[in-house]
Amino acid sequence: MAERANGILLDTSVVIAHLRGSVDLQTLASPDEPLFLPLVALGELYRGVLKSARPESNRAKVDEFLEIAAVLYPDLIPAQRCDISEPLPSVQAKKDHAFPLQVGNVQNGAKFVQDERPLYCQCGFALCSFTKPSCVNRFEASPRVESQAHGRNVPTLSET
Amino acid sequence: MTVIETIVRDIQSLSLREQVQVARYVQRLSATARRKRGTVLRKTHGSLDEADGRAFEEAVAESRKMEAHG
Repeated sequence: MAERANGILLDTSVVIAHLRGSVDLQTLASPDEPLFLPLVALGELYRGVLKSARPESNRAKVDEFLEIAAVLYPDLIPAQRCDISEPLPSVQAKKDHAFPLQVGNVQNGAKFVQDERPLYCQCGFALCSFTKPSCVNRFEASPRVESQAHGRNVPTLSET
Repeated sequence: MTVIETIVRDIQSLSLREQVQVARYVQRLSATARRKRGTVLRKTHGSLDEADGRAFEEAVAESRKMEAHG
């Protein structure tokens, strides 16, 4: 079983799925696992707020969510590459760090990858996101993660 | 300089990986943060209705659309 030692980097679609009730982040993440939201994802959420029928009410929901998720700003992105040479989260990084995945429910043409054995980026974040079916196939075909990836150690990934 | 200011100053010099470790440590220490998180997650779960949920997803799809110019 994989051990998640750091935080969870939330994709916009996961936050929306949580708000819609199809994904429950409380069961997806353990209580002591910090939640992170990329600034780009926050922009997408606010765009959704503006497009919605009740922007004020929905803005309050997003803002409330922000009280428990730390926003990652673009100037931190170089830091994310602290020990890697590729930008994150590239498809290659996801692929190279993918455990065999279970594909869950299908919604709006997208498949949700169950987070029981999550994908990790090279900094140890669990990548928690909806993926297109084509990506799911690619991830399913990925080999189990190695302790060494691209010649670099990934200490946050371990098998118990 | 206050304790919090010192902590913030020192954290700013850390790598993101180390900052995440600090965040996790603080999260563990703080019962208030855990309670707050539980409350917010329960409150926000399923709080979007169907129409607004679709609007959010459409907004994301539009945001991620690649447009070629020139």
